[in-house]
Amino acid sequence: MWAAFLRFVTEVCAVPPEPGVPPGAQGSAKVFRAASGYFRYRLGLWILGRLLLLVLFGAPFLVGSFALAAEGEAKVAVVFSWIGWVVLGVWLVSLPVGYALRRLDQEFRWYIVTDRSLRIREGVVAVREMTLTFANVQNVSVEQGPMQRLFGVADVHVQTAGGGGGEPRPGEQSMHVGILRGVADAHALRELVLERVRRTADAGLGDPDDLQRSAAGDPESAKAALVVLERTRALARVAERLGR
Amino acid sequence: MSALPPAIASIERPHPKLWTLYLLRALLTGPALVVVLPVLYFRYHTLRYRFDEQGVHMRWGILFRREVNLTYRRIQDIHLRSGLLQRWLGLGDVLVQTAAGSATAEMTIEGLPEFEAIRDFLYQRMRGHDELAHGQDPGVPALATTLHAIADELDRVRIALERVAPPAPAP
Repeated sequence: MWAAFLRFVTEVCAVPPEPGVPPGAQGSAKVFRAASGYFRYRLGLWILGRLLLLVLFGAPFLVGSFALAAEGEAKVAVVFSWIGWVVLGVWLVSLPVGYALRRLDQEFRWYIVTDRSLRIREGVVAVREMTLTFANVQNVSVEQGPMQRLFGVADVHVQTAGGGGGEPRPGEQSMHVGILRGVADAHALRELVLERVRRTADAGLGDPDDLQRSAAGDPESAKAALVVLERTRALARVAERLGR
Repeated sequence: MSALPPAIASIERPHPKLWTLYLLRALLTGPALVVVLPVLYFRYHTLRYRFDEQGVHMRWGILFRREVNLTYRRIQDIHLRSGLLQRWLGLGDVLVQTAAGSATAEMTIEGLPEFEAIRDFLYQRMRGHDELAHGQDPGVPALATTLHAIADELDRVRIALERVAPPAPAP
């Protein structure tokens, strides 16, 4: 039934298929999905919220209506019980909807790490995809709340330069941060990203070409040096025969 | 660097579907339609793109003209964003960001059905894409490593030659 629902949603919302690997990096690409713990974490958090809602809004009306009926205020009691039942009905309907939303979010979530770039794709109704190269990464951080620790997941934040103008508005995330939510082995992923960031060997600003040349020499010189090494070895062999 | 693909170089005007999208969006604003629709109408009709060897240029506006110019090598990250309406129309936004300190995207390329091709094109020219490609050839060791090996070999040559022709005793 879930599979049929998934097909239906994909059709109606015209959700694009699984994101492709950035061009030129097929061999080195690693595709991650959010851990199953992430779904349980989101579900757990949401169930807690639902229960709180029921206790705060639904129950008072129902309990209140019984109390009022006991006091002899029959008319008010009926109104109260009606409100109570409506709230309860809405609450019940929200259960499968909320469950489906969280499960869809889990299904349509991909993280792709290649040797030089990172791609994050998420969303069903609003589809968002972010691609950044490690040469631009300024900072990698791991965040884990107590609930997330309980479910064994963490968020990895990958930040690029820029993005001032104060904190982003609530509900919106800065465009310069890629968040890999609900990753099972956040530390391994952080190390992987950091290792690839380090390999680019520039500060993440300015023109990388100059830096690359000065740091490691350009590839043509490296090849030329190899040839010189070969010749010198031959020369050494001749000289050693001479000396014997 | 590879040449500019003709499919990208020829992009100039947004697709007519963008006007459909603008119409639908204006309708969704309700009474604000009166204000929103003319703005979007002029935006759609004046929107021009130009992709050249160095960067991408975008301009629009009739009374207040705006022009955004962006160099490929300065691109920090590329976003694709699409809402339901856009996907139903086969459109998507490509949001391009540089390291400039704005929280929103420096350029939002909208109204082009080939948004995925544009994303791939920009990705292949952005900062950090080809550094590794020409910076690290796995078959060739770093220049410094080879130079050290050459110095060692030259030492072998000197030692061998000194055996034939011993160095003159110091005067």
